[in-house]
Amino acid sequence: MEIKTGDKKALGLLVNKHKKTAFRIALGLVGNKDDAYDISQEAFLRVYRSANTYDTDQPFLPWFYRIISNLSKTWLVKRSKRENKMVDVDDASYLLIDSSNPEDAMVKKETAAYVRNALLKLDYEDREIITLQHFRNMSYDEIADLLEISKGTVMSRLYYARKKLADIMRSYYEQG
Amino acid sequence: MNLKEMTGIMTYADLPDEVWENYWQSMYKKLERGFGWIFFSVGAIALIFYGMFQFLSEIYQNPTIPIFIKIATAVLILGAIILLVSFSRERLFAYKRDRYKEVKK
Repeated sequence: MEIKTGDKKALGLLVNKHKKTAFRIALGLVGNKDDAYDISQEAFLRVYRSANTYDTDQPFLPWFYRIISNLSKTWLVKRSKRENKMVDVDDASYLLIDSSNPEDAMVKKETAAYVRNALLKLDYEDREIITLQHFRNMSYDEIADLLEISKGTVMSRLYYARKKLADIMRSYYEQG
Repeated sequence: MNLKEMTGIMTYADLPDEVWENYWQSMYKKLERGFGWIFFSVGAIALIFYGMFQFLSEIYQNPTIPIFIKIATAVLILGAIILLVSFSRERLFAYKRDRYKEVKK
């Protein structure tokens, strides 16, 4: 990893390779495009500054994911202190629906809005696990490796996170 | 519609192409400015300490400066130290009770 020697070209290559992944990870965690953009850039700057602490024998992505996740948590804490709410639910444009089929586009659109808002109401850890499994389509094993937890813990966390999401969604439907 | 079906029709919003094209440039500016601020701060701190040292040397070594200026300067420094200790203690107190202190800043 040439970045360890302060090579900015190497950083540029790394950024070009992973910038969209970084943005999408952050977007799933904070639910806001502007914040996700800033977090992804800050994550690369952290990689550059703390490249010496990176063990090159280990895969890059889990280490990078932890940086993005820590930054996202900090961002959310700061935002909740500033705005007195966990996330900005009004900014619901971070998840889009596939509207290729116009017949049921309205139903899909409404459902998508419920899912978006429900996701943003989940605790950070619950949103994280749902995002990884359902939006990044990662397997249990991949999530376990990424979060450095056992496969059983992944399954259990997913079970409870889905349950909470379903409860929130149910309350939305009941309210109409 | 179950959760898998719902999430299956959803994708993340993307950014316009020009934002991605300028991504590295925008980041490089932040990197550059970060270094700029570090050098600026180190230089400023060094100059401030040097200036303070020179100022105090002048005040206390120059016999023509009135005694009340020397006393006022000593009181000013004492006040600054008390304030610094007080703020530091408050920050430490808040840190010990911070629920999110495990979150890296």
